[in-house]
Order: sequence, then C-alpha cells, then structure tokens
Amino acid sequence: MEMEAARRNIELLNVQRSLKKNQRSLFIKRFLANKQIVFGSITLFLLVLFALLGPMLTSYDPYAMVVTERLQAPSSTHWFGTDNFGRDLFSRVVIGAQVSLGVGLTVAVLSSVIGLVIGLYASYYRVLDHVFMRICDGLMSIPAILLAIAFMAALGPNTTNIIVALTVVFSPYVARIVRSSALVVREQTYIEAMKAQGAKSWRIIFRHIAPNTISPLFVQASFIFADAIITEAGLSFLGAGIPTPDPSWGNILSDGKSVIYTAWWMVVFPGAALILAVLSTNLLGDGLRDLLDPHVTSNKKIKYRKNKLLKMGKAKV
Amino acid sequence: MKDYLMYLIKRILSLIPVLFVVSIIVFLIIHITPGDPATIMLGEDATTEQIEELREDLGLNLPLPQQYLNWVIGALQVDLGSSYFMDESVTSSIMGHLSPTISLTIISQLVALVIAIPAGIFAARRRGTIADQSVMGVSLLGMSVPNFILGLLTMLVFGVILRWLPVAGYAPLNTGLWNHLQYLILPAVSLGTLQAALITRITRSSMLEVLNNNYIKSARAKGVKERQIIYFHVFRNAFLPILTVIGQTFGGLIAGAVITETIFNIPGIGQLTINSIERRDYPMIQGIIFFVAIAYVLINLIVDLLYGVVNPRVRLDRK
Amino acid sequence: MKTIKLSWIAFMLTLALALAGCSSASEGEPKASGEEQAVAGGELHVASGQQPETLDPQMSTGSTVKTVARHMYEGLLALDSEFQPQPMLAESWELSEDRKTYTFHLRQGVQFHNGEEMLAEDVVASMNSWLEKSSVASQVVGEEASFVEKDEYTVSLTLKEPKLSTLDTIASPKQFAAIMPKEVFETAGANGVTEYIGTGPFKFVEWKQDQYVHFEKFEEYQALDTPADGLSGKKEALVDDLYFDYVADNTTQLSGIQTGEYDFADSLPYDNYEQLTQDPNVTTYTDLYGNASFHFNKKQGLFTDLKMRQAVNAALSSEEIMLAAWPHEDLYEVDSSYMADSQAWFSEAGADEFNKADPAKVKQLLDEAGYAGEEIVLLAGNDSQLYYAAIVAQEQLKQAGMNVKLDVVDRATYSELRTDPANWDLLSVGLSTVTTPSQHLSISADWFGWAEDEKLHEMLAEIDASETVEEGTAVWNDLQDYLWTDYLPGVKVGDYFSYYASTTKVDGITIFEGPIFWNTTVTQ
Repeated sequence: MEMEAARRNIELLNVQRSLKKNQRSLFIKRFLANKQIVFGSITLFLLVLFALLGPMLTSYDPYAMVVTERLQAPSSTHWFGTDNFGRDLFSRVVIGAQVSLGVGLTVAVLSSVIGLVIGLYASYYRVLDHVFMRICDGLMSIPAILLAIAFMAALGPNTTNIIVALTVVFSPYVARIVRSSALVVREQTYIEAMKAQGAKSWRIIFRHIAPNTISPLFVQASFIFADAIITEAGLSFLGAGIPTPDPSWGNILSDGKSVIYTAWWMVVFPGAALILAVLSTNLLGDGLRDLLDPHVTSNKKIKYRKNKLLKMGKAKV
Repeated sequence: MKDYLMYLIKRILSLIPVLFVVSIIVFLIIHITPGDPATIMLGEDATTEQIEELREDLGLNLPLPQQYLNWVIGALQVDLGSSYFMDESVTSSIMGHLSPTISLTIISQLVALVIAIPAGIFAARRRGTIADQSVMGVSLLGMSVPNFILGLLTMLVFGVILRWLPVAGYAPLNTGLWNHLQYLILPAVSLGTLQAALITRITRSSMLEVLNNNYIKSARAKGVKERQIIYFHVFRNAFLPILTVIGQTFGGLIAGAVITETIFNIPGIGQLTINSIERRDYPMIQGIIFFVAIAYVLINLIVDLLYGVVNPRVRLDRK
Repeated sequence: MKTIKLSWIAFMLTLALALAGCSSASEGEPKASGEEQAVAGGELHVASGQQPETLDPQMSTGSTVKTVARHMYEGLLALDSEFQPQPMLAESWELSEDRKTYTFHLRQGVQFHNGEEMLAEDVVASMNSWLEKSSVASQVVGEEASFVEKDEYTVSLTLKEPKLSTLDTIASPKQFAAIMPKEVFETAGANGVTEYIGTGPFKFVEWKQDQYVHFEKFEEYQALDTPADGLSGKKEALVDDLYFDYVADNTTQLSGIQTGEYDFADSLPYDNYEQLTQDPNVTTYTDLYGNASFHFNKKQGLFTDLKMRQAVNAALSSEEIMLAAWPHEDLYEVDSSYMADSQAWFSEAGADEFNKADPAKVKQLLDEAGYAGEEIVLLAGNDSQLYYAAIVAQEQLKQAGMNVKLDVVDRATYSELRTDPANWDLLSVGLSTVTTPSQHLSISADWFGWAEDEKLHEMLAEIDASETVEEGTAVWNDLQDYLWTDYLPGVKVGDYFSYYASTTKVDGITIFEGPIFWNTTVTQ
C-alpha cells in the first residue's frame, strides 16, 4: 500500500514537473513569438554589449586630445571621425553609451522604487493619498523638461544631480500608475479579511498589494528608461546636462550642433545611437506589456494599448 | 446639469492645492540656484562690492519666507510682479510671448492630424499587412527621434540646402498669413512628429476596436460600401479617443516647444522661460511656471469635460 | 625648442601683418561710402547672440550692452582706432598745471532725442551717476571726486591726485559714461534708467524682450566733421531702422546669414569661419576681444603658493588651447602681452616665462611646492569659447600630474561662484581689452583672484602718477616682467578674436570693440 502511494506521489510529481516545464516553454515560446520583444531586446542587448565591450575594440583614450586633428571625417583609423578637440569619436560614443544608458537605467530603477512606495502608501492611507497626490499633481503640472532644467540649474551640472533631477521628475508618473492599480486590489475581499484579522499593514502592502502592481510598473519603467535618455540628451543639448569632459550622447550632440554644417558625423553617430536605444526600448516596452498581461484578449489588448498611449502622451516631454 | 456644475466647481477647487505646491516647489528651486539677477545685470567684469550693493537695492537680501509671502500676496491680487530686466510686468510679458507658442502648437497639432489620421486609418484597414507594419514602424521611429535632432535636420535640409523656407525667426500673424506660416512650418513639423506618431497609433487601434464590433459586421453584410463604413461609421465612433489624445498631448506640445523655440528662435513662452532661467529673473520664472501649470491643468479639465459632452455615457465622477 | 620658438615668432609676425592689413581695409570703407551717399534708408537687421542685460550702459559691464547702447548714447570723449581719447560731446578739454583738474568744454546745440538741448547740468548728473556705478571709474578717479558745473557749457573734475588714465577711463567704451538728460536719473530704479534718451545718431524706439531692440535714425543728429575713426569722428545713421534681433543659437545665426535673413550676425559657430570667408555672398570681420586667461585664486588654497602658480604656467601649452577654442589662425594670437599690440602699452617683457609646456620644470616646481595630488577646482562658464579652452587646459594639467576637477556651469552660476574664494582655485576668464594697465582686471585687488600684492600696486600707482604715456609704459614694462616671473596673477594663454559676418549687401561696417553700424548702408 505504502509502495503504491509512494509511486503515485512520484507520478504526480512528474506530471507537475512536466506541466511546469510546459508552462515555461510556453512562456519562452510566447516570448520568442513576440517580434517586438525579440527585436527590442536584441538591439538593446547589442547596445549594452557595445557600451561594455566597445572600449576593448579601440586603443584610443576618449579623453586624449590631438587638437591639430580636430574634426576629421570617419576613416579606418578613426571609425567615427574625431570631435572638435581631436578626440576619437568612436570611443566617446562608446563611453557616452555607458553614461546615457547608465543614467536611463538608474533613473528607471530609482523612480520605480520611489514611485512604487509612494503609490502603495498613497493607496493604503487616505491622508497620505491626499498629500502625496497633490505633490505629484504639482510636479506633473510642470512640463518635465522645464522642471529638469530648473533642478539642474539649482543643483549644478553633474551626473549624480541629473539622476536626482530626472528621478524627481519621473517618480510621480510611476506613483500615479501604481496607486491606481493598487486601489483596485485594496478594495478586494481578501485584503479586507486580512485587515480584519489584524495583519500588519506593511505586510499587506508589500506581500499582497505590491505584486499586483508589478506588471504595469514594469511597462512604465521601460518607458521611463527611454524618456530619461531623451530628457538627458535634451538637457545636455541645452547645456544643462552631463558636464564635459565626460561624454554622453547628449553633450556630444550639443557640441555637434555647432559644427553640424562641417562635421555631420558628430551629429549622426551619437544621434543614431540615441534613436536606436529609444526605439528598442519602446519596442521592448510594447512587447512586455502584451506578454505580462496574459488576461488581455486581443480586443482588450487594443484598449489597453490605447490607454497606455493616452498615458504616454501625458508623460512625454 | 447640476451634477455638471458641481463637478466643475470641484475640479476648479482642486486646482488650489496643486498651484500652492507648484509655487512652493518653484520658489525653493530658484532660490537655491546659485547666481541671481544682480550678478547678471552688472555684466562679466563687475566686482563683489557692486553686486552686493545692487542685491540690497533690489530686495534680494530679504529673508526667503518674507520674499515668498510678498510674492503670494501679489499673486492673490493677480499681480505676478515685474521683471528685473525689463520695465514690464510679468503678466504682460507672458501675454506678449503667448501668441507664437499658441500658433506653433496649433500648427504642429494640425500637421500631426493631417499626417496621422489618414495614416492610422490606412494601417487599420490593412491590418497585418506589410503596409500596416511599415506605418507602425515609421510611427515608432517618430516616437523615438528627439525633436531637437529633427529640428536640426529639417533646418539643414529645407532651410539651408533647398532654401524653401526660412531657417529661423518669427513673423506675427498681422504681417500676413503666409509670412506667418512660413516661419512656423519647419518647427511645427519637428515638434508635431511625436504627436503624429502617437495619433497614428491611437487612430489605428481605435479603428480596429470599432471595426470588430457587430454592427459594422452587419453593415458589411448588408452591403454598405466599404468607404462609407470607414468614414461614416467607424471613424465617427473612433474619434472620441483620438480627441482625448489630442487634448492630453497638448500639454506635451507646450513642453516640447521649449527646445523647438530655442532652435528656431521663436520668441514664445518656451524661449522666455529658458532666458529667464538663464538670467535668474525670479518673478518671471515663477510667473511662467505658474501660468503653464494653470494652462496645463485647465486643458486637461477641458478635455475631460469635452469627453463628457461628446459621450454622455461617460460619467464625470468616475474620474 | 629654439627653432620652434623662432618659427612661432615668424608666424606671429605674418599674422600681425595680415591682421593689420585687414583692419586698415575695413577702416577705409566707411569714408568711401560716406562720400558716395549711395543708398540711404531701409532696415538693418543684426543677429545678436545675447540680449543686452539692460539698456543703461552705465549700469553694466556686459559687452552686448556696450555694443547696442553706443548707437543711441554718446560720451564726452570717444576712442579712436588707436585707443586714444578724442572729442565727442566735449569739444575740447584742458588739464590744470597740477594735473588734478580737468575742464571740459561742451559742444553747443547738441540735442537729446527728446528735443532738448544738452547742457552742463545734464553732463554733471550723468557723469556723477557713472562715477557712482562704475567700479573702474571710482578706482581711477577716486571715491570723493565729482563733476561740477562751471557754466552752461563747461564742466570740471578735480582729483585728489593726478591720474594718467583719467581721460582713457572716461572714454572707455565698456560700462561707458553715457550722457543722458538729468531728468531720467530721477525716475531711475535700482536696475538703472528706464527712459532711454541719448544724443547718438540712432534713437530708441522699442525693446521687445527676447525679440529685438529697435532704433531709428535720429533726424536732428549733428555729426562732427572730423573723419570717422574708431568710435570717434563723423557718425551718420544711413539706414532708417536698426534692429538688434536676439538670436541665441549660433547655427541659427549661421543659416540666417547664409539665407540673408539677417544682414549681420555676431555669434557664429567658430568652425564655420573658414567656410564663410570663402562664401562670395558674405563678408567676415574679426574683432579683438581680449586676453584668454586662467586666473589664480590668490586669497586661499593651493595657489597662494607662487611655486604652484608657476607650475601651472609651465604646464600649459598655448597653441593647443587657443586652437581648440578659436579654431582658425585668424581668430587667435599666442601672445604674452597683457595689453593689445595696437596700443602704446604693448610689451614683450616676461615673454620668456610664457607658453613653456615643460613637463620637467612642472615636476620640479610641484615637488618644491610639496604638491601631493590635492584637488584643483577649475571653474568655467559654459557660454563662450572659453569653455573649450578650459577643457584643453584641464587635460594638459592632468597630463602634467595635477589633479584638476573641471566645474562647468551656466553664466549666472559662474558669476556667483567666483565671488567666493572657497569655491575655486583656477578661473577661466576672458578679459576684454582695456585702455590702460590700471583697468586690467587680472591685476585688480578687488576683482576675483584678488591680486593683493604690494609691489604690484606700488608700481601701478607709479604708472598712474606718471606725466606722460612714455613714462608710464616704462614702468609698465617692468611691472609686466614682474607679473610673469615673480607674481603670476594668472596665466594669460593668448588673445582671441570674435568674428562676425555680414551679407555683401551691407557696406561700411566698422569693427572696433564690437561692430559699429553708423555710416553703414544696406542695399535693399
């Protein structure tokens, strides 16, 4: 009898295991079937690879100047040409990729975390809701780029400050989205029941409400990543971003702007890198949303995408 | 109707805390920013002593809470103060810079609509084909190109190489419609591209949503002409979300105008803001951001109201 | 090393000759066009990269204020192209025996733009307001001295001690002593006069903030009959309307001048200079701005030590810095003189210490100073070519073993940060050309960097007290040698030029301390 039971157990386990396996492979299949995700993540991955391995491909120091060789067109020695100080543009675009992608990623992560906490607490406590949401409304009613410019003028231009400024600018957008999905969960019976049983509020918030907000948060984070890259470039373009001599795509473009009629390469290469990064992130974000929300049927998906677009329109600088 | 009025009053009252928050944020930011109007006004060679004297004269040495209070008292009386650099009040300065920005945003929006709505309909009708995918691809590209790069490129191609349009500057409407327009076409294109991309996508998805409805299917079955279906039935029903996106992205346009106005040298609100920040014209910065925030919130309010008017099924208090 | 230096001198000489050729050519033009009276009238649009901070020239040292305001205002004296004071609103002047009292005889019948005649009381009010506002003026003339009315057409100024540079200061085009009707000072606020009334060939019409300053021809203007020379002599408004259009973006200015949108552009991308010189539809002009310099904080920090200052001086290589910032040989000069080569004060004293780029010497000096890698803060503004100079300088100092942090900030922040010696060690500055050494900011005890050296100020006083320019230049020669070898208030790396462009439809522009648009015509 016992033997029989054990055998059954093992059989059951096997079934379970293979089911899980099936599920996983299904997920991978859906992942791979989603062209947007595949294309987006491959491009983004290549860009990251470019940023990390690029320095090994070239022997040029991105800071070393040969002023007499300024503004040389792309050639076999300088693949992307040289900039207005005679520095190798390829190595600067590579380091610029590290800076720009780094800033984008840090801002996306930080504003997600801050927005998540603010959104969750706002959804849980009514008083906090009023305070937090009024502050968010205030911050969101100032156009993002203006707010960022003002912050940068106040804090002074350096990489840390640009991250701080952009995080302050973008967190409210995350908080809003987290709050609205958390509000729905909060009203559900099982949460009420837990409250009645006297569960600690931080436990309810982080163990039970938070997981339900992760999908929209993920999607929003991917768009913030793209927006942060664009905004940083815009700030640097206006001279309020990453300070020289550190390269970022934005400040290479800003230097390139004044030589656009003589040295196209200073605009084209960092510009293309910037567009590629934003494009692939947008693709990835679109795809992720479809993937992470299995409940959406194709018609609903359209609706969902529409709402997403509405939100994006608001968030775009 | 009574509901409507109550809702309106509630929304307008909810503006007050927002504006209060905005004024504090802006006030704090500008006062922790190094540099002040005195250092700018006296020029590059001024000495510390001179700067200190002018600061005293301009009242920049007063304690911060007092400066803030003075400003709030003024603002409550609809007096936003006057510029340190011009013999002009902040309000009249903003009004003077308003019309270029309004023209620019409206023309950008028009450019966006003219491109986006046909493109969106086209893509929706050919869902899944290469044509659809290329429209969507282009719109995705449009969403990913920063407007300052686009501005530089259009300026280079159409202004300098082809010389079809003036590269920069601005002519007010009273100098003639064409004169006015020709200065705004390039900036409007570079500013409107993001709009166009967003509207193309929303048009496509709203169209698809309606196309899948049963009444369209039955209209088809009845043999109604395809063109009629598209323009009379589908588009009319799909227009509501499009209208919403137009309204909501208007705020984004105003923000985008900051960079576009700088590149194309258009003396609008965006340029005024950048210049005021650069010369630390405190009352001006405060005034503009306050003004833009009000405009932004009001536009959203109008869109919400319009939504209710166009589609009475939408209950206002749900928002 | 020697041969390089020799070839440099040769290069400099050719450059100087070329420049001399340029400037004399452009000076010849206004007279020619004045005689022909070819086409008068029309509008002249000047694209200006900066908006004037104010239109009260007494208020600000800003260079845009200077170039815009001088079309509407005039002073008692004006500089000719050799930086010599010449009569303008004062028709003559004399100096008392003890060299302390200056008496100015005013031109009679000069009209303000409001139709009233300029009288001594207006001059007294204007000059005293200027003495109060200008720190250079109060430094040269002294705190107590003031202008006094003698009769309707005569004013005088009495100093405590004779000062050689008095007239130069009164004639100085920067933060200049504009003469205005005395009433405007009654309504003036802390931020300067609000009614813009002068005596110049153009009168003020409108200032549309962030768009343009509009002047129109002042019909009643009575020009001098001496030939135009620098800012002095005959001035005539030959266009009906003069606009200074504010165009911040330099690429916009470039495309605007190429398409004829603007008649003149003052802030063009430096890398397009070469291209514009070859454009048949465009005329280019160069204009000496002044010294590009890295200034030491001598009040606190590492550079209170002379050895450290000398180490920086030994590390910098001028050509590279100048070329990166002003990328054409027409646009910079590698030159050690504090004063311009067109001035009597030009001197080559101390040139041996200049532009050495000698790593071994740097190492030795750093060792002697006991430098152990402390951070050096180099503060620079982001609004001019000096920003590029600072980037190269940072790299050179780093290569020479110094730990330099570059702080690049916007103009307002820069102006604020530099007032506090705790904020910086090395300051990137452009010092505009001055008429006498005592006005040179790099040796001012009050200006940022705080050159509070006793010997320096004794010698300056000696220059000021000297009777003739020749006497003064001899002392200045010694002083400049002392500055390079034993004091080093900063490291001057070279002189730089602004460059401008006009379309070929424009004729008769003179360049002197910025563009001058009187005696200028536009073919419509």
